[in-house]
Amino acid sequence: MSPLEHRLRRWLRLYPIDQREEMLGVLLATAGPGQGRPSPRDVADLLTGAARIRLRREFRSLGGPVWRDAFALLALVTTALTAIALVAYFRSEPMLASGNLLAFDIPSGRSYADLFPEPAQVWPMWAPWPVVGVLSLLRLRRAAAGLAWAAALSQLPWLAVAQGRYALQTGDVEGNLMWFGLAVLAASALSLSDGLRHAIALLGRWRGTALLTGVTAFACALLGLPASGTPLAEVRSIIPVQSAVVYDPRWLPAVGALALILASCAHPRSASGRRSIVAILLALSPLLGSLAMWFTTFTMIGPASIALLMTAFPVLLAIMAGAFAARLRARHRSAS
Amino acid sequence: MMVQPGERFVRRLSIYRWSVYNDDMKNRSLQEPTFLILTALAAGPQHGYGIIGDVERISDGQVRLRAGTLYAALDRLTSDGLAEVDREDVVEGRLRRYYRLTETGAARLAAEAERLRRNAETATARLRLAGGPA
Repeated sequence: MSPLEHRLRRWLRLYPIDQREEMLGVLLATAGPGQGRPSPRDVADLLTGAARIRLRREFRSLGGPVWRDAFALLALVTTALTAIALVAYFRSEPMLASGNLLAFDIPSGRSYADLFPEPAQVWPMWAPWPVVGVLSLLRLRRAAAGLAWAAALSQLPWLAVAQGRYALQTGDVEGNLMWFGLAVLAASALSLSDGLRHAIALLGRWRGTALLTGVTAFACALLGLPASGTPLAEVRSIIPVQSAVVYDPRWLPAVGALALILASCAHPRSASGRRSIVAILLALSPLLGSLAMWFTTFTMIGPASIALLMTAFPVLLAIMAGAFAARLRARHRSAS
Repeated sequence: MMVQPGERFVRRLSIYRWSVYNDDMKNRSLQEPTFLILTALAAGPQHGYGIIGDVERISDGQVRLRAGTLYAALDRLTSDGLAEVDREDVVEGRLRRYYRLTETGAARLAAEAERLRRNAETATARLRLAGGPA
């Protein structure tokens, strides 16, 4: 194999497998004598060509079964996360109580509780979600999706009634936006997939158990252990890591739990598994971002997490809108 | 055909009109490389390297397609049903795939050629009226 062929084969890995050999023949035939590497213009052309083919094929597959399965897994994760908001309501203490305590204890310090986007303590916002879960598990797909949409969209009037203008205050607005976004994502994913029963069947016994463990662990990390009823921050050990950073023992379990949620849904060898990684990463990005920002400048937290929210959720919603449009188009074509 | 009320609503949504979601080529003018590829295939089935050479000849050396551009265009043309794979050969150990124009592709090319001819005639006529080089 010539050095040129070796290099071209590396670039051609960007292309679908069915096009590589054919393109290699054309590239070698059009290469100049003694050419050892593709020219920069050829490389740029190969990159843009690969991006165009991949994107077009991806958009065409949005309405198909691969993305449908990925949306089922996304629905499972987002619906499970809304359960955390409901559990938070039933806890005797508001979630940020420990964070406030910490802020009083050490004015210059901060804990993960300061950064975690808190769900509003308004029970009607979260009460419908267990019913949504049960309906979806009973394969009542339309009823589950309908109730999910009602629950998601009714968050805004409930917030207006319960919090008024405080709903938009810095510190509250990130949490309200994130949980509203997650609810809309859950409703969209339930509408575009075969529901939670199908997602559990896709995961199988072991990965399903891992996902349940991940969600429970995440809830425990933030809300405290069920048996003791004491948030983990109450038993925190305060170790200065940097001058302005305080070690919060919830940080590591929260990172581990989110990693477990991702790993249980991620199945890199299957097409729907790869797409579910993208969808779930986008859905979890504000939570992952809040964990990552623990080490960053405190003043950057608000704008940065809102920027992350405003980027990741619209991208995911655009993918789902594309899937919706692709399905309508397919139905329109088959009807005409 | 009856249109469902829900579907009528969704058709009005701007997202349905975004080209990225609605990217078939029925209602759009062809880009020059695509037009030239279809023109090359109008003479008969050709493989990738043959199309590159033919397009260069048709355009008097003005358009020299690169592999990435060619195969992105062929991928779109085949998925839109304007071209299709005719046959595959193996020459000197390398795969050679021949593409041919479909009936839809021929009709689309004819419509585009007619549109370009009308535009060119209008431009020529107006330049003549203005005493220009035509």
